[in-house]
Amino acid sequence: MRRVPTTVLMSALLGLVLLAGSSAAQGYDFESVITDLGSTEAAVRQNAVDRLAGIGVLALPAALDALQSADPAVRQGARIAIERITYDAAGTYHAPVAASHLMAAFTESGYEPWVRDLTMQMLSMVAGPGDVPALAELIDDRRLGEAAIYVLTRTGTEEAAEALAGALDEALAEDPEKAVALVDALGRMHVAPRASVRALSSDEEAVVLAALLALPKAPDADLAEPIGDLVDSSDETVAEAARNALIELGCTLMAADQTGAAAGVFAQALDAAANVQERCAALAGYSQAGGEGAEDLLWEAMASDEASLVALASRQLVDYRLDAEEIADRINAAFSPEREALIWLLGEIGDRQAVVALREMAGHPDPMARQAVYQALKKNPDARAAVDIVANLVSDDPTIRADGIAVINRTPGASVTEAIADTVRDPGVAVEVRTELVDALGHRDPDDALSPLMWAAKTDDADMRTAALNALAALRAPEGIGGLLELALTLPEEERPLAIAAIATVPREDARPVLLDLLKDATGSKAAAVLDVLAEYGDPKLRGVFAAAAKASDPEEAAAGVAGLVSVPGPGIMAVLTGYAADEREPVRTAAKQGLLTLAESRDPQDQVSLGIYHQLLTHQASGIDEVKRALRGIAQVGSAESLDLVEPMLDDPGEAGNEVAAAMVAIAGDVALTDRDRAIRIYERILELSQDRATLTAAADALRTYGLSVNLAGPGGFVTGWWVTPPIAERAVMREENPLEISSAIDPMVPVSYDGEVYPWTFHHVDDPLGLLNLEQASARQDNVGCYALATVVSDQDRDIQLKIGSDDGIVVWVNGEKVHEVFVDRGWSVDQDVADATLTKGPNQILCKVLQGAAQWSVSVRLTKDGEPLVLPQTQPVDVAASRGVVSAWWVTDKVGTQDELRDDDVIDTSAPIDTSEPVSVDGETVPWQYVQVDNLETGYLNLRRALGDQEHLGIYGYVEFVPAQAGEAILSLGSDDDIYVWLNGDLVHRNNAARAANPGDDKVDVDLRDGINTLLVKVLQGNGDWGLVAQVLDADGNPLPIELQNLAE
Amino acid sequence: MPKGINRRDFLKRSATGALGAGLAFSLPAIVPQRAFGASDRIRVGIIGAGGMNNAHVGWLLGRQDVEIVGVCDVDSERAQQTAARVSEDTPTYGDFRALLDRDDIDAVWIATPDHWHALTSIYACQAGKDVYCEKPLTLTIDEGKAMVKAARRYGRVFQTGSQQRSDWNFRYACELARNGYVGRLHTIHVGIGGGPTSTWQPDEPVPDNLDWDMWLGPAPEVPYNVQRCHYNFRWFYDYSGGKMTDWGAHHNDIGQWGHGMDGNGPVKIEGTGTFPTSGLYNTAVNFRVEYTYADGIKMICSDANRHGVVFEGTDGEVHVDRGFLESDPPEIIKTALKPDDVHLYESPGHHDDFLECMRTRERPICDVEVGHRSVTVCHLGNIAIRTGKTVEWDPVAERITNDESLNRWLSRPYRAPWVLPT
Repeated sequence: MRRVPTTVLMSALLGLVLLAGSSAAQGYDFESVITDLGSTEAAVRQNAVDRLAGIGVLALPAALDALQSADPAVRQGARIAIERITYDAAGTYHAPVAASHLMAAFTESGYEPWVRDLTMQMLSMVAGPGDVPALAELIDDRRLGEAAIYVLTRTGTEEAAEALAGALDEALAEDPEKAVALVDALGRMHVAPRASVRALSSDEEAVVLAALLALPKAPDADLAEPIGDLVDSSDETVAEAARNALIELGCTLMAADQTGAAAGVFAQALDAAANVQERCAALAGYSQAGGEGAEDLLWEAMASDEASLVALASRQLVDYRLDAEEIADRINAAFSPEREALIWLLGEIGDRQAVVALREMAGHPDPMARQAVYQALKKNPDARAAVDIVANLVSDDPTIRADGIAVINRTPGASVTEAIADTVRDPGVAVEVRTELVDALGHRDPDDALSPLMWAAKTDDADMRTAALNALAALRAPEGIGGLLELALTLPEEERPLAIAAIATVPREDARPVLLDLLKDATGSKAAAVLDVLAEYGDPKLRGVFAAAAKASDPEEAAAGVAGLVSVPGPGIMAVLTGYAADEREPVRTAAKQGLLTLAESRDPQDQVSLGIYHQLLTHQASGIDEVKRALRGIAQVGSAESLDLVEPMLDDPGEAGNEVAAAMVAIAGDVALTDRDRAIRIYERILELSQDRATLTAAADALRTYGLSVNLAGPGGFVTGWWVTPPIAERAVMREENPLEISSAIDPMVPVSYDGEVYPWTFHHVDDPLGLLNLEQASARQDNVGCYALATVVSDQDRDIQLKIGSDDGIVVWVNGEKVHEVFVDRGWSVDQDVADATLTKGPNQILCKVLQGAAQWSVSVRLTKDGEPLVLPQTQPVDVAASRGVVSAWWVTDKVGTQDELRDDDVIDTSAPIDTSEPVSVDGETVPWQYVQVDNLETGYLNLRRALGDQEHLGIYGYVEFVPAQAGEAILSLGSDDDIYVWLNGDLVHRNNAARAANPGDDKVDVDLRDGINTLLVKVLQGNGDWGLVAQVLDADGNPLPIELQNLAE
Repeated sequence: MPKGINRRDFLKRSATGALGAGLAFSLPAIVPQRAFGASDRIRVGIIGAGGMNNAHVGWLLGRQDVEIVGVCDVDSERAQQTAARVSEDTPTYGDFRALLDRDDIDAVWIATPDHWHALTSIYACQAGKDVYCEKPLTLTIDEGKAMVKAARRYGRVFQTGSQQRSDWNFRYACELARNGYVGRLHTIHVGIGGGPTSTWQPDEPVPDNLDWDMWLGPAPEVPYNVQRCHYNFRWFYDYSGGKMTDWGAHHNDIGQWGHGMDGNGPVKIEGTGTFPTSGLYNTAVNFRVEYTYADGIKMICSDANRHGVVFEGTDGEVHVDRGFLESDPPEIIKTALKPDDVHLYESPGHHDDFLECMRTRERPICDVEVGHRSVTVCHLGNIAIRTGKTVEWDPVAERITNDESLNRWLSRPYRAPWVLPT
């Protein structure tokens, strides 16, 4: 037992006093809450955490005690509760109470470092002046001392500083290691007590260094003297640390607005500086502190050979009033790197003189200097300089040219644009330079840039034309609309959309009057192009314009007018469009029908009006496949039985609209099912045959399942539908290089994968996706940068060569019967049949093993078997098969309660001597109890949790029944377990009875039996007292080895 | 004191580190290439040999002007595997300080778990190395302050590994927002997905190849568990900040950039979150944090938002994510910036930018202060959701103003003997 400091006890007593005053603490059942922290139910655990946190500091002792629990769930719940309670208490009047509890736990935590660290962290959030004495008592504690010192610094109180300083006084004489920690702690509190200053005189170098680090954090100019005394130390490490400390102290004084004192300290540091870095730092500080003569020192530094000193000086000189002309003169006489530093300085000064000087250097013959000028001009745009840069671009290399264009793009002015335009038109300039400048024109004032861009859009060079059209789009100039329209009608086909897109980027309020003006004289294609753009605006005021255009004699213009009407629907629009839908001109008809569809689709929600349009189009007017598809999609949206007679015949010959027909029929069937379920089922079944659309297939399958029908979506495509999957086993890179699983042709999914000291059990997952996708985020884990295995077994009736079609997200390796047939290491999204691999199946079971590597986000796999391009549908081994191969009864027919535990001990309500017809319910006292088909919870052991299957019931009895064919007849053993009593009949004979209140463990009862050839019947009666409730059965041969069985009376 | 850690060694490094220009400035000089190692090649040390740094190594190996000269990881197998990618005789280290002791190294690439970023970076600055450090830059806000100070104090070029800043899509989206092409910006929606949960896994013996004590470093002492280690560290508050910092450091960073808030931050933070109810992970699973800036603009970061960043203004919105850029109306993203628009820093590529800045001594696109300020936004969100309290923040003083007790969240105690150099 550790000694608890008296001050801790006093703090704890304070807590107890507060506790006693609270009614909430009285009689609260903390024990049950703590127990709930370890519940297997997440909701119960969360509730327990919430309850503890809700109670607050009064629950802290119980939660702290729970940290010692052997159950990791309890410990984690307690930790969360402690954190929440502490955080809630921080800054409130509860903080002292929380601190007292945490202090007690912290003091007692030596046995467990993580408890120490947790309580230290929490204590550091709430500890205050009242906790200082107790913490001070712990400073010398071997295990807790460092942590206590840390908490003390976090209280930030004078009391804590005094306590630490007192401890330091003692430690300086006795314990240098402790002294170092204490000096450092005091430094973090930004105080410099005498003890810390005394540390400078220590014989221990480490203590002196600690002091030289800590003391400068206190804004005390008097510290310069004792620190300065050490710059001449014979110990070079100490001397260097002292020089650094002076600079640090200067910084601290600057931050505390003691600039005068700081200048003095920096001057001292400057004198002491022993290398260029120290000189840089001290000079920068001296300059910033306004030290006398600092500017002269900086100019001296500019002339230095040391690049870093030059750079430092240039940065500092920005703060002085400098004459740009004088700097320009210096540049003329300077060499790199001073020259570039001076150019940079001009850029920072940025006044008129500076810009003039930079302008004059824009054509500097040295590329390094020119680049520096460009960088400086980026910050100081100047039109005349930009004009010069345009001229220079021709000779600049691409890197410098990019800087030059960046300057140009930041410099407004017509003269710049003019210079650009001249260069663009200059055939003597390289076309790549001209093209880059065309792009730059897109950033200019449209008044100046439009003309050269129009010129560029008509040149012979395709790249330049494209650049010009993009630049015109960026220009968004209404003045360019006319020219763009002309271009749209004359450019090569593939470039016309760029011209139309460029018109569409013009702000509408500017573009509209221009377009309307153009429309006055336009006809045919040109008018249609204008109308197309206007239709984008959706402005009702344009309705008259569109109506007039719709009556034009030119079909293209009329069609554009009809489309325009759709964009501004008004009263009577349906009738108008219906009329145009019968127009003799194809473009007009098409526009009207598209318009009708648009109007129908835009109704929210889509209704009978919409439906009427869709029906009308399908019945009388639809012509193109796109219109048919749109109408069908609309019908699917409405989902009315009224569409049945119209759409159902299309199932016979849906043509290209197969998916749309199917989707519509799914929706229609939903409405049909309200009055005619059988017909709806027939529709769904036809859709499963017809559709190839994933969403439609899934919807139809889901609908059928609601009627109790089983649907296998993936199977007909030859997809693997049953996978055993491991959790993530290792990181992707590791899994790529290694195989944690021994690859063979006989992997047993009942045996977990063991790797690196861990076990990773297989779990079974059924694929219910029409494209066979197994979502590994659900089946394995939602985790990035890992890998897992997926295993399936297919049964072939002959030896055969096949092709596996594989899809994966991300990488995958595939083995068939232990032979690697495929591998691909990629980062990709999943799609079906991404890879194809040849493989050979042998007669009988064949194992397909995949290692699927996960990068990030989605994680999935699909595999299907094909032969000559057609799906190969083979039986696949299901979990029950695997269990049966081990003699495990993996599924049972069970009744619900057929009597009480007492009633059934010596009586039965069924004929136990005959085979059971599980389709016939059991009759008990005039009530019927049906047989239910349930699968066991653990396929490895065969454990059936009856509490899960039948509910939480007590004092009752039920029957369980199964039929099986053993691999061999004769002597065998039934290995059984039950919770509680069990009675067993094999082939009608009572072979075992055990009345015991017990848990159901495999192999608790071993019963010698004789199995017969063919079907054997196994009937059990399980009686339940209270608590857990279950059943286990496995068939063994006479030697006690698993005897394979084949279950017979499985449900579909 | 854990084995292999010597406080005296810390002191010597901290007290005698190579000073740079110091104070508030980094060195601005154009440093001649000859300042670097033999053959003008930049010599790089790798600290942390997990997934991220192996990606960086792949890139670095493709550069003729870069030479990787050492690899450090507390997992000796990882260190050796990564070193083997470089050459047969590339030395490996288990203690980053040994690597930093080499005076022939110009820069280090740091991709450790987050709780090590501050110490490794600061010691690297002290040792006169330029630093490329992965995001999220810090575990606490005070660590960020110390890192900024160290980079300035020792004149180091420091690139934060938020590589989205070097992506054209993100920069352009931010320029559109900054220049009013979405109208008056009023809301930034940040979507970063929810955090994971874990299953129970018992503690276990430390693998022979792992120095677990060094892996923990300044973090609280706990038994070894594979679920804590390597990639999964990000789901523990002792080592990281969950999805909020893991992805928030990317997308909140873009939110800050597009709002022009580098070097600044929100003034009020409100948030809610849910946390795992089982397993070891303890970082938030779902969350919603609303940041309010002094100009009234709000940034809403949530697992439920569409992934990426949406800048919403009075005239439209721009949605940007990796490889994705959309606007409503669509015309917005066809806009060309005008000469007098705000033009943001154009990075030639995140690594290239860093290497270039090593030569010019300019600050790179995601300088340490940018990284610090962006992850500060994330940390403030975590403080709000973990305490359930409204946080009022002074982004200039970098202090919480409405509840003094919350300022203790700005730092956290280190496990002795580690201390944060401040």
